[in-house]
Amino acid sequence: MSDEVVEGLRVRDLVVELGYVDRAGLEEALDLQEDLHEQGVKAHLIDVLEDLGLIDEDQRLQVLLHQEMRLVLADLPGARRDQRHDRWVMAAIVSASLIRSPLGVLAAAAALAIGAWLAAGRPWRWVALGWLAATAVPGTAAAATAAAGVTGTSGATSRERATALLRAAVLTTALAPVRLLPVELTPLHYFVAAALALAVARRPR
Amino acid sequence: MKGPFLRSPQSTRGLMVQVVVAASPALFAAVVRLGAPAAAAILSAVAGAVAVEATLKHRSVADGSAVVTGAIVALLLPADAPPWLAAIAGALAIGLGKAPWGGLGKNPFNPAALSRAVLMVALPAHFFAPAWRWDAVTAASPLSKEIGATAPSWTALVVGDAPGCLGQAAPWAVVAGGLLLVALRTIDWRVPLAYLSAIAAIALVLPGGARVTGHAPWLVGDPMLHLFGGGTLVAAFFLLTDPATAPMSQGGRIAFAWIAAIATMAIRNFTPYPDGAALAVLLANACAPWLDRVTIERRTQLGTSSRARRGRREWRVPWGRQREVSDGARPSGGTRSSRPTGS
Amino acid sequence: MMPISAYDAVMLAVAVTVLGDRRGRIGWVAVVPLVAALAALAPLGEHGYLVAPVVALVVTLPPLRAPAPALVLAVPTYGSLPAAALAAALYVSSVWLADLLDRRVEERGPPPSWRGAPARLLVLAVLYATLLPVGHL
Repeated sequence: MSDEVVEGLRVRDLVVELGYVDRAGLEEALDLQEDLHEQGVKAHLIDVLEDLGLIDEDQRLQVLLHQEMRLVLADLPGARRDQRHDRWVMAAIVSASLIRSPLGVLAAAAALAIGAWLAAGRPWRWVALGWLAATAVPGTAAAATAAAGVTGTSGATSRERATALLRAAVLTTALAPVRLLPVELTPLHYFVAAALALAVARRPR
Repeated sequence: MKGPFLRSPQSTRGLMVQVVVAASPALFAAVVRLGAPAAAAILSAVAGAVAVEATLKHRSVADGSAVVTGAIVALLLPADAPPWLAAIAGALAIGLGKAPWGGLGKNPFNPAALSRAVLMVALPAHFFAPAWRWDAVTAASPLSKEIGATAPSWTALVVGDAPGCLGQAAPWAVVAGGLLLVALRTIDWRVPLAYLSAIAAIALVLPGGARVTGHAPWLVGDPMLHLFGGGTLVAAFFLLTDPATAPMSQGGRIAFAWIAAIATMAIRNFTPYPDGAALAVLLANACAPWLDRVTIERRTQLGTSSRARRGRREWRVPWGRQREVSDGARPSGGTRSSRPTGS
Repeated sequence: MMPISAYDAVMLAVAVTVLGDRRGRIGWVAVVPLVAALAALAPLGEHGYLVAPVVALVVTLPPLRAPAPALVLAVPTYGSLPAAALAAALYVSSVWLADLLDRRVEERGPPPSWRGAPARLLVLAVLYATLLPVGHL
């Protein structure tokens, strides 16, 4: 089993990925868990999170279900190509849907590239402020919003965010000519196309 | 019967044959009334479905489910649907409505309704035409949103003289097929009864008003128009009764039919959509997991109850959010849940 | 540039929520259309261009946990407060339905290549088509 699959199984990753706990809360729980370990109490992180009130009973169950599900899925073909690609594809969908002209799509790609630069090695807060600055320029609000599509993933590292944004910028640029087609494209078209593309990409060879 | 598994005396293929036989009168009537174009549309829809099924999962072609899906897709198509549109609809029903979810019995949405809904968004021109062709005469559909369109007579509706989708070519034939399925116990009679009675009741009590009557004044207060118009009957007997996409419990299925009825009437009366039946079925399908949760999981208390889980744990961190007001005493040890947490 | 419809924006926000930015602040995100509608009602005159960045500031900075769907919801122009409330309700109910369906799909075991994001995107596509009439209410 590859490292990336094991990485996605940890409670600390799951609770953040599922949006139940933010980084600060997780740090708090980890500190407490470490304190408990020093006291000789080997507490599971999920118990600590629940006792701190950071997750409730349902969320605890969801985390455990996800963990068990991923354990099963990890041995199935295609599972190892994890969900890493989902987010930048999603960002491209958002930007392509929001922007209704080829020039606007290029602007979105530029915003995504700027987002990538901001995301590299910088905390998420700065990226948000970068988008905010971009929205102040008339006409680029949608482009800046598109950039938010991927990097709002609170569990990703700065490098992963930057890579995702760059990929999204490339895909968004590639989608610019699609806007020239005489077809009214809706999010439904993008959802179906992206689902098919991701499924084909994950097909075991 | 072997082992702990329940087995039905009916094979999948047997069930599919029953459904095809039940759909046959409606399909045959459509061909008789509309001629070669209807036959071409029906054959194209079936061919599209079977071709995709054969490509993606060739073994399951023999069970006949693709033929059933193609036939029901055809019943939902506009009367003047060209063969290529029918073929795409059939292919979409299998390609998007069945295969991605794991095949027969695993799809959360009815494939035929899904196919129609997706095509309605992707190719709206073929579904939002102001008037549909019927017997070489252009006329408004009974559920048309054309202001000023006149209501067809009840006789025309029942016999099938009113324009609409292929399934409307002979409503009596759809009813006959549905009753055959009920008689054979292939479908749960409560579902169509709950759906149709709710449609009729809503049509009677729905008050008139600018928003409603602005679309089609004659729609208000006439249950027959709603029962025999659009895809109501096809939805009642062939879409809502799909066991894979309906709730498991009896109560859940009745609530499911009511949700579909409310959605059908809301779409017909308050939106510019030509017919709400297929979309309403999809909405009801989307609610099916919730209905199962309400009617089955809670009653049987499936899953892990929080109280039981609490009981298994022998210690809790005593301070939690009140950490700062505690005296600093910490638990000295204990056993914890044996479930793997990976931390 | 043709503006995006409120319905498309809501469904995109649902997609971003379901696929990436997770659930913690759905309630907060649902407030965004109301904030955007109120901001649009503000008598800013020639300073109307400030609406977008101010809404972005309001919706992005406080939560910092679900900015993507919040920003997507801040983009369209909501005709009135009831329309914004409808958008908020649509967002919450769509996320709820998508979650229920996601669970159902996972329980039934889709093919490995369709697990996860592809199946979720398909669910979203069907929900988009199904709930489209709501956009006309």
